[in-house]
Amino acid sequence: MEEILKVTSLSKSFPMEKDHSITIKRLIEPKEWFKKNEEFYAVRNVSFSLREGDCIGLVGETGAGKTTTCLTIARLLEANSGQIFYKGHEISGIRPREFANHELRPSLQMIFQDPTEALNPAYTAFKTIANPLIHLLKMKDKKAIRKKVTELADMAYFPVKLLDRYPHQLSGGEKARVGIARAFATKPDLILLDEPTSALDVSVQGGVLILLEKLRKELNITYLFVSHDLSVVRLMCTRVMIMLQGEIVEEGTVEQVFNNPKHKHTQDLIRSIPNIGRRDES
Amino acid sequence: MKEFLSHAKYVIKQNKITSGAFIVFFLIIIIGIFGPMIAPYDPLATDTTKTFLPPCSEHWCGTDHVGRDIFSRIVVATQLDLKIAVLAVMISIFFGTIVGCLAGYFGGWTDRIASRIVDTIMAFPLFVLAMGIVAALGNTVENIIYATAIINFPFYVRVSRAEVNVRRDMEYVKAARISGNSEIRLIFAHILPNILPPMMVQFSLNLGWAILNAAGLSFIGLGVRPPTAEWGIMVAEGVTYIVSGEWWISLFPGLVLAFTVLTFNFLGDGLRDIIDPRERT
Amino acid sequence: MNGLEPLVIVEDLKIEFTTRRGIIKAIQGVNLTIYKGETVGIVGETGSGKSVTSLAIMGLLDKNGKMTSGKITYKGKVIATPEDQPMGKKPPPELAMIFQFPRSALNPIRPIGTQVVDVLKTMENMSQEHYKEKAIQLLEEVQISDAARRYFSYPFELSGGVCQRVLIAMALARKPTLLFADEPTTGLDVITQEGIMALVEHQIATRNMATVLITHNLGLAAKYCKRIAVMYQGQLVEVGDTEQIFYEPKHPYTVVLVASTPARMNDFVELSAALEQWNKFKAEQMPTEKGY
Repeated sequence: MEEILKVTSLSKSFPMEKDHSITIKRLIEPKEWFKKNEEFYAVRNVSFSLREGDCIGLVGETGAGKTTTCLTIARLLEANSGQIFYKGHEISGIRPREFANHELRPSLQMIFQDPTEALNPAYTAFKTIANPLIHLLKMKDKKAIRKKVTELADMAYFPVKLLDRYPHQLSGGEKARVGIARAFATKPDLILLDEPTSALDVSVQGGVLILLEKLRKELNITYLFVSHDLSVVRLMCTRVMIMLQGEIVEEGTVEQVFNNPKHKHTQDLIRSIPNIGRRDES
Repeated sequence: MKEFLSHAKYVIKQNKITSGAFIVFFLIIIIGIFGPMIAPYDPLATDTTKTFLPPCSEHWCGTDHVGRDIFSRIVVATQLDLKIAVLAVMISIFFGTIVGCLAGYFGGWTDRIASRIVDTIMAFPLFVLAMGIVAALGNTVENIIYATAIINFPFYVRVSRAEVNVRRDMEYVKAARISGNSEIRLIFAHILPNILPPMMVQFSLNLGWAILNAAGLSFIGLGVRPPTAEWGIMVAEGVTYIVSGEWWISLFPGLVLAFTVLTFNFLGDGLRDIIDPRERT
Repeated sequence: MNGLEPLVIVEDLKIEFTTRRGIIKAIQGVNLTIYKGETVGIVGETGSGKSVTSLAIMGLLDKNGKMTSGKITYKGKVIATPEDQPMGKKPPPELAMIFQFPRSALNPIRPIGTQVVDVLKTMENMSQEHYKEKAIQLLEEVQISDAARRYFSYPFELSGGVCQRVLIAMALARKPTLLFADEPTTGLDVITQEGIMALVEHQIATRNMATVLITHNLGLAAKYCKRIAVMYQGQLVEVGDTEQIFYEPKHPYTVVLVASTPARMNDFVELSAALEQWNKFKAEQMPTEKGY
């Protein structure tokens, strides 16, 4: 299987908020004037690669840098340094505004964490799903668009009669399915999933995970699955990477990491999983 | 849409003043549209034999110093005042929203320049600024519209800038970018529809103020010229006669003006209640 | 439960909320007994009514909520009936509660120590010095390091975990026999969560305090509770010992919850089957359920 994504030495920082006491100091000490704002490194020197058809998990707590990594790979953020090779093309140099028109945009899509925030409150479900069809696939014929949107809704088990509803009229699970239908609209080869089920009720999560797994197998798509929940990742992924404060501290196959965690953080995470008897262990 | 209307009805019914405001608002609109047709007398027709008639059964608001029926003039003036206010506010909203959206979304120099322009306008007492603009550009109704538009412009820039700023980093904007939307489309096709509700509220609140502004300018002699019927100028024309006892020439137009502005203010409050999501269950 | 006294008895509780969209039947006939010293979990999702039930017992129900039938008894005394509504009253002093989002449960403009003192002031009269001493003692009990100095800290200076400990200190100031913990660890780091729950367990053991853990996370409930009550849309669908709920769930909804716990899943086979059963059950036996 071919390598579809390769990330080398990716780093991303954000300027930290000014400490006001330093500002006063700056007024009285000229050499402080030239000091730059301190930067907070959300992602430090991250490297990994994905093969076609893989489902790789990226696990870490809030603030570990998982979402920033996703956004940078998806070309929604600019990295400070490092390279991103997607299908052989170096895309880290392309700015977010320009990537919207790039030929590779349709094949690299993302599913966002909060299904509510990820949908435009002023757009019906139909309009949301149709958006990438219109702008990425350049579809113009109204009938064709309606047909395709209905197909996508069916694929995501989203009731077609709800297509004309607005997000505030939909349940959490339904909103998640709209997000899924939208992400799959352009038949992408790589999908970045940023905690796609964290904001959902437990009984709904299962259904969504089942759907995601089914689609991945049927359409042979590669997933980068971000989660803070190690158990979900164990279920969905073959390999997993653990992130702590911007760095990848451990990686390996799911079995390796679970049965023989090397880094302390990984061990802490595993220990916190409730021991309620998996079926294969009872 | 149906849900919105039923929610709107509920909110309006809850507050007697708001319901009253809505009813009067529609009345004003109707008078504005049909004014010239329903006025009993020709607003411009003078009759030197019937000057200074106090309110009576033939002339409900009396006649003025050249014998014109004040009631008819008030009715016809509704159309003019509304027209000035609506046009001015619409120009204001159009340009103010575009500038505000761009400033709120892009930040940086776009924001700095726009904000400084806005600050400059707001540094002046706004009515004085309007006076200055009309005096400089020339004494026409058109210029009243432009002057009113300019002094309302900062307000819309600020509101849209703030609203866009809040929404700029939301996930649905990121999702839209991934769906292939260009920056301009992101601002105007994705974010703008979401800020329209608060803008609509500002629009109606502004309308009342714009009417007052236009009337004020006409009162001091700028903009509208006799013999045009306009509330402000009618009040001005009657001022000299108050002392000698012909109170009705100024009073009735003044009352109608005040009442209209009040209605728009209550309307704005009502609209805000309907649209503010915190009022919704 | 053999040998344990009942502390709170909830009988046929029905609560309605009046909203613009009409009347919402938030709780539809719940029967639950909480025994002295036990740790029981109430598990449910959004809209299940798990929080409302405990707020009703505490007397903290919202103004537009109304108890339409049933009875709540605490230590043998009736504390709520439709004639004597559970809202706007001071909760019985031996009941305490901690909430989700600890930082927003604290007053942002006052030092945390003074907020603990506030609670102490409602309990007994002491000198000002005494209050401060007791407050610092409580902060130490919840394992906040450097408590004497942290007394003066503001909530924004503290991490989520420490804020939650402050809330626990405030709850303990009431010397509770029953503590309600409503999603106390949601939103906190996994490792912080462990610390908080360990603290709660320790307090339960030392004070022989009953605890009701309200959560949507069945795994969390399983780890810390001996008994679990499962709620769905205002109804109590199943109650039982943790072991029984997990290994022999009876109600189709419980089956789905158990099967959906990722820590328990190997694959989706069990879950798919459970979801199918549950959808069938819903269609047949709960036709009044709204579309969304």
